[in-house]
Amino acid sequence: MSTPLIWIIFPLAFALLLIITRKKPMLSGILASAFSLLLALAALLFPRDLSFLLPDQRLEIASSLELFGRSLEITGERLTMVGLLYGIVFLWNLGSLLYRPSLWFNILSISITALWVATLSVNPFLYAAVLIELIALLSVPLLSPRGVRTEQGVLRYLVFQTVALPLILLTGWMLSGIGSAPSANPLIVRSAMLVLLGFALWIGAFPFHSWIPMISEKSHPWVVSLLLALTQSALSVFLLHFLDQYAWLRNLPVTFSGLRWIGVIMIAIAGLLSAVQINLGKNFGYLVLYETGYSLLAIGLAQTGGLNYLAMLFFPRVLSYAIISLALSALWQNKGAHALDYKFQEGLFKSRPLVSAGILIGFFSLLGLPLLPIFPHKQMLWLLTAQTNPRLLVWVLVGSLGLLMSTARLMRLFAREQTAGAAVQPVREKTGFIVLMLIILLLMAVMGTSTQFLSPRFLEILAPFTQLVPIP
Amino acid sequence: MYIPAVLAIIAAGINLTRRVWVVNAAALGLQYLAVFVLLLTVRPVSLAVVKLLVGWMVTLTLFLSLITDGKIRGAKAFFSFSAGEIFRLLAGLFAVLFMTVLLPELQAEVFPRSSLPLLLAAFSLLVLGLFQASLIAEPFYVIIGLLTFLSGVELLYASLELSTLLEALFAGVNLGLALVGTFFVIKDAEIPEA
Repeated sequence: MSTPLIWIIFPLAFALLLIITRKKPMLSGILASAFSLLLALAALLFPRDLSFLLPDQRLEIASSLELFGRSLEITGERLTMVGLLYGIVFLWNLGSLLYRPSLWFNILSISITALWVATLSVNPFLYAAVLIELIALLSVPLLSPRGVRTEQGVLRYLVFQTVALPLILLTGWMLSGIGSAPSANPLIVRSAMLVLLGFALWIGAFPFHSWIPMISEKSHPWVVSLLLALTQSALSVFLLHFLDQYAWLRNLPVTFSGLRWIGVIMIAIAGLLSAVQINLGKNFGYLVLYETGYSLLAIGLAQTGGLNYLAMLFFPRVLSYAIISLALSALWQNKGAHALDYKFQEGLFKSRPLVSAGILIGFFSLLGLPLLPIFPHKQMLWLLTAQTNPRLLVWVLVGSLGLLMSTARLMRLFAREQTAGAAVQPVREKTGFIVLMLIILLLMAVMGTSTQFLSPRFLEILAPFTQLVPIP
Repeated sequence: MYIPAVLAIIAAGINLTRRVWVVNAAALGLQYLAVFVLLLTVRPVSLAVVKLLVGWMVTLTLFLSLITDGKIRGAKAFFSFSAGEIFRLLAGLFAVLFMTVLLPELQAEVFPRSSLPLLLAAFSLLVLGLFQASLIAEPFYVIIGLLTFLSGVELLYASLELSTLLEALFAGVNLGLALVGTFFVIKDAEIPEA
C-alpha cells in the first residue's frame, strides 16, 4: 500500500467504475461525493509520518510508487493539499446532485482531481506538464457538452494549455545538471523566461487570460468554478515547487518582483473589467482572474511572508467561488447561458432573494470585506504590499474599486423594478439548494468571525517548501 | 534525412493551407510517417513505431468521425486557392524560411546533439501547427494544428532525452486530442444549422 495508490490510482479506478452509474445521476452523485469526502478526510487525518501503531506492530504506508522508471510521491507533508483538492471535489459533487451539468460530471471531476494530485507528486515534476495537458483534454466534455456548439473559449483553452507544454519540458531538459549556477548565466535567464511564460499560459495570467472569461460566459457555472478552483489552487502550489527546487530561479532579481507586478496588474485589469460586464458568468471569469492576481502577488511577497496568506486564502476563496457559482447555477438551470445576462437580473432581490444574496456575498467576500473569511488574509497582503513597494498598492486599489463598482452595479440591478410592469412572483428554491447555500454561508461566517478556525491548518501546505518559507 | 523532414513540412503546410478534409486526413497520415522516419535516427525501431501507430490511429479516428457524419468532401478544385489560403501558405513559407536561416545558430548554441534535419522538421511543425491552431476557428482544424504542434514537440524532445513514461503520456495526449476532435466534429454536426 502506498499514498499514490490511495489518492491517485484508486480514484482513477473508482472513476472508471462510476461509468456504470452515469445514467443514474443521483446514485452517481452520492457515490462520488462519499468517495471524495472519504479521500479528503483520510488526507487530512492521516499521520504525517505515514505510520500507524497497531497493538502488535507498526504499519508503514509507502510514500512513493514507481512507474516506468519515474515515481509518484505523496509525502505526509503534502497530504493537506491533497485533502484540499478532494475537499473541493466533494463540495462540487454534492452540488451536482442539484444541478447536474453533464452525465460525465462525477466521473471526470474525480479523474481530474486525481490527475492534479499526480501533477503535484510526479518526480521529476516537469513531467507534470503532460499531465496538465491530459487534464485539459478531460475538461473538454464538461466545458462543451453535447447539444452545445463548440465555442472559441474552449478551443483557446486547449491551445494555450498545449503551447505551455513544450516550454516547461524544455526548461527541464535545459536545466538538468544545473543546481545553482550564477544567476547572470544566459541559459538561466532563458529558462526562467520559458518557465514563467509556461505558467502564464497555464494559469491564464495577463495577457493570456482571454480564455477564462470566454469559457465562464458560455459553460455551466458549476463546471467552470470547479475546474478553475482546482487549476488555480494546484498551479499556485506547483509554481512553489519550481521556486523551491531551483535556487537559480529564486535568486534571479526579477522573479519575485515580476510576479508581484503581474499580480497587481491582473488585480487592476480584472477588477476594472468586472465593472463593465453585462453577463454574470463572464463576470465570474474576471473574479477568478482577480484572485489569480492575488495568488501571484502573495507568491511575489514570499520573502516577506506572503506565502502564509496564499495558503490561508485557498479555502475561503473556494467557498466564495462555491457560493457564487451555486447561485449562478440556479439561474442557469433549464435556461442556459443567456439566463446569466444582466438584462434578466432586474428585480432579482424580490424574485430570488437567496440567489441574489449568494452572488453578492461571494462578491463582497472576494473583495475582502470585514467579517467575511477572506478579509484578514487580504488585509495582511495589502500591508505586506505597502511595506514592499507602495506603488503596487495603487494598482491593488484600482482593482478593488473596479470590483466594488461591479458589486454596486449588481445591487442596483437586483433592486430595480422589472420593466415589464407585472408583479414579481418569488421563485421557490429547491430545498437542497437552500441547505447547501446555508452550509456554505455558515462556514464563511465562522471563518470570517474566527480567523483561527480552519485557516491555520492550511499553512501545512507550505511545509514541503523549506527554501521558500522563512524559518521563524 | 532531409527528405522526411521536407515531407513532414509539406504535409503540415498542406494542412495549414487547404480546407479539404480528405486531403487533410491524408496529409496528417503522411506527416506521422515522415516523423517516424526521422525518429528512427534517435530512437530504437520498437519505440519509434509506437509513434507511427498512435499517429495513424489518431488520423483514422478523425477520418472515421468525418465519414460517420457524411462530411467528407471530395478533393475538387485542389489547385484553386482562396485569399485566406494564399495568406496562410505565404505565412507558413516565411516561417519555414525563417527557421532554415535561424536553425544552424540555434543548433550550435542550444541543441548541439540534435541533427539539423530533425531540428528543421521539429521547429517547422511547431510553428506551422501553432499557426493553424491560432489562425482558424473550426474545431477540426484546430485539433489538426495541435496534433502537428505536438509532433514537433515530440520530435524535438526525442532528440534530447529518452523517457518511457513521457512516451506513454505523449501517446495518451495524442489519442485524447483525437477523441476530443471527434467529439467536436460529431457534436457540432448534431446541432441543426440556425
